[in-house]
Amino acid sequence: MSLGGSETAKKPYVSIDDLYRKSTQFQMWSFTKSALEETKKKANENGTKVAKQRLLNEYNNLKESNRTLFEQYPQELNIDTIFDPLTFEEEQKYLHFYCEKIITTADFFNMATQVKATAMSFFKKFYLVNSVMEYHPKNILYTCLFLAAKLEYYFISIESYCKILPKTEPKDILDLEFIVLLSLKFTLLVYHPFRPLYGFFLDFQAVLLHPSPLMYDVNVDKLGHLYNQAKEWLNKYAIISYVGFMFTPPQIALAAMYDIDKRITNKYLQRKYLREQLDAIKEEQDEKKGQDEQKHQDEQKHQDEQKDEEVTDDNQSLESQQRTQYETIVRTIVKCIRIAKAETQTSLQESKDIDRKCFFTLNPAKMMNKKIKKLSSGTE
Amino acid sequence: MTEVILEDRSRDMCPICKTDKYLSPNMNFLINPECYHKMCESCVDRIFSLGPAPCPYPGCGKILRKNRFKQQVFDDLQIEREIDIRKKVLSVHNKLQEDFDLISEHNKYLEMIENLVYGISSGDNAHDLEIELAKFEQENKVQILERNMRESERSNDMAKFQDAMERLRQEKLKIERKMELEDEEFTKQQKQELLNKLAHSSLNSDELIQQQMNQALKRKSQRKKILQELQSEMEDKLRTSFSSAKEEAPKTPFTPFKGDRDLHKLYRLLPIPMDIDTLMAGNSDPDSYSDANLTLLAKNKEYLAAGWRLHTAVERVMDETFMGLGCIVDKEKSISIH
Repeated sequence: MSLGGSETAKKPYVSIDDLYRKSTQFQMWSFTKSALEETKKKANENGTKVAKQRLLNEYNNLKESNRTLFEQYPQELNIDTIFDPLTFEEEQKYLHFYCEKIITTADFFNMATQVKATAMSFFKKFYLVNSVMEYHPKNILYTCLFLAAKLEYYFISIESYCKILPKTEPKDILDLEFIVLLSLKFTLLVYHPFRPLYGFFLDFQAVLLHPSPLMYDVNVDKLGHLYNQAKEWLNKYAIISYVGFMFTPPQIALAAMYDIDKRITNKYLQRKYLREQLDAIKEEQDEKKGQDEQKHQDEQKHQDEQKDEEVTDDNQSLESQQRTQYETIVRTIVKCIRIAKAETQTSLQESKDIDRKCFFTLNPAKMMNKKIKKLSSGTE
Repeated sequence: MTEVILEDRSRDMCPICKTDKYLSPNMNFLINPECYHKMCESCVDRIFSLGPAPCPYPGCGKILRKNRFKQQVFDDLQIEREIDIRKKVLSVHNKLQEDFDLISEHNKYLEMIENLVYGISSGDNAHDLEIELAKFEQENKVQILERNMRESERSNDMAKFQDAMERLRQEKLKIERKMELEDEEFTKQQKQELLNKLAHSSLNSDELIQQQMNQALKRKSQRKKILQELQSEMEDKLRTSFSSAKEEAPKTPFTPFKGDRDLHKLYRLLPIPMDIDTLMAGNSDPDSYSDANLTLLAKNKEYLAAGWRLHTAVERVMDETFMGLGCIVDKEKSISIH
């Protein structure tokens, strides 16, 4: 039929990976490692600039009123010696400390892992755009958690939420809510590795145990154990680190399983990539020979009427393709593990020091007044 | 004020014979899509029953045929006319969305139709457009007919389906009525029996009544079962007779992006029990996935009642599992920057 010519023109074709590529998580919140570092650095720089401006305003005000003192101590009251912003490393350490705090707070409320992970993601995204020198992380943390709880169907009313948190008013959180949303650019859906992990637990069963067990020592219980350990791994490493920005959820889930049991995961991946897909493609080709009309979009398969020998040739190139695919996945996973585990803990003392510094950059007036008081008492 | 009244009157009066609706309440007005002049039914009969004749309106004079006269649906003749034109245009330009590869092309086609309708109904070059339309019809007669056939086949199927549904409903009603009658008879009989027993038997009256009640209950539950079976049987019949038509449609999920969804899955599902009875029995199938939480969920009546099904849940998890597995962020993002 030549009606619409629908048979001749091929429609473009959207794979499940393409669906992920359309998500905001991929488009706006996925970075290469260097780009992520750069974004963080930029946030720090911007924060420093804002903090300096804030200090400068205060400094000039006080200079007007305490002219003599300023002249007396030009060394101590020099703007450059007073200004002490958080360095990039300090800021990162500080954020890490608060990330851990999200977990303890969420645990305190008995929130689901999903809520925890979403809040963590919001918090990190917020500080990719802003700096701790602009917004103090304590209330941002509470706001992110409150927002995440709402989004992940774990609603707590603001009153009961604030009642439990020390020294927090509903206004503190609600005022920040829109600012947080703005920084998130209103992209609220976050894909987490937990569901893919569960899916892999099921698919491991399908691939490794059916129709008959592939490995003599692997059974359902063992896989269940692996699943539980991997879940813990995700809670321990993946949530708190920045891997969510550099890898896709299924990759992180596989990384968790790979780190727990390399042998089983590797077997699964080999089976999946080097064997199963090949089988599937072979089947498709057989089908294709049967009915010429069928339209398949994969590039490798548009040689319809070729001879069998060439088809096997094709298979060999396919095999190498499968192999590179497998190798990329394994490489990605290993990298993911390395990055996830590279995260270092921040000690309490360290964070307290940074906290003091942060407080002064946020409230330059207090610091200046303190300094002036000290100096003026010294002169008397 | 008087004008309004006049217009009101003229609306209810045939301009040809001046018959008033007030005096002959069951008179009808007809119009002809040639010139859209309104006249009453008796006038049409009188003037046009002997064959085509010119329109009796002063200054019109178009030749009208009786069989083209029709009842006016809309008060506004402009609208009436536009609808007629639209019908005519659509009978010629009758492509459907499925005849196009891209939505945008289909939208363009629809736009073209709208422009044509507007042009013919109100444009200056209406006459040219009409001639063009007729020419197009002449040239593409075969395709137009073909598409018409397709359309009518489809609506035919629908009509058949509705017909069968109606018949099924009727039958069910009949059976239910019959059963009701039987029930009535039964209760009457039982009452009589009870009286007889009370009169003759040596048993306690309470016991007797209890017995009867038990009997009635039993019968009721049996009835229910029979009815249910009947219904499912009928539905089965209907389904088998129409399933062939339904299964033909390809089951490509809708994508809001350009292009179709890739239906080639990266995973193979193990067999998952579909029907509720086996799920409720809870004997985990050795060939299926084994997970304690999952089987527990599958047995949850509240979930089941709300439409939750094990296989859709598993499918969703698996889809999300492989969503983005092949996206290597490092590689793809570094390309997009440079």
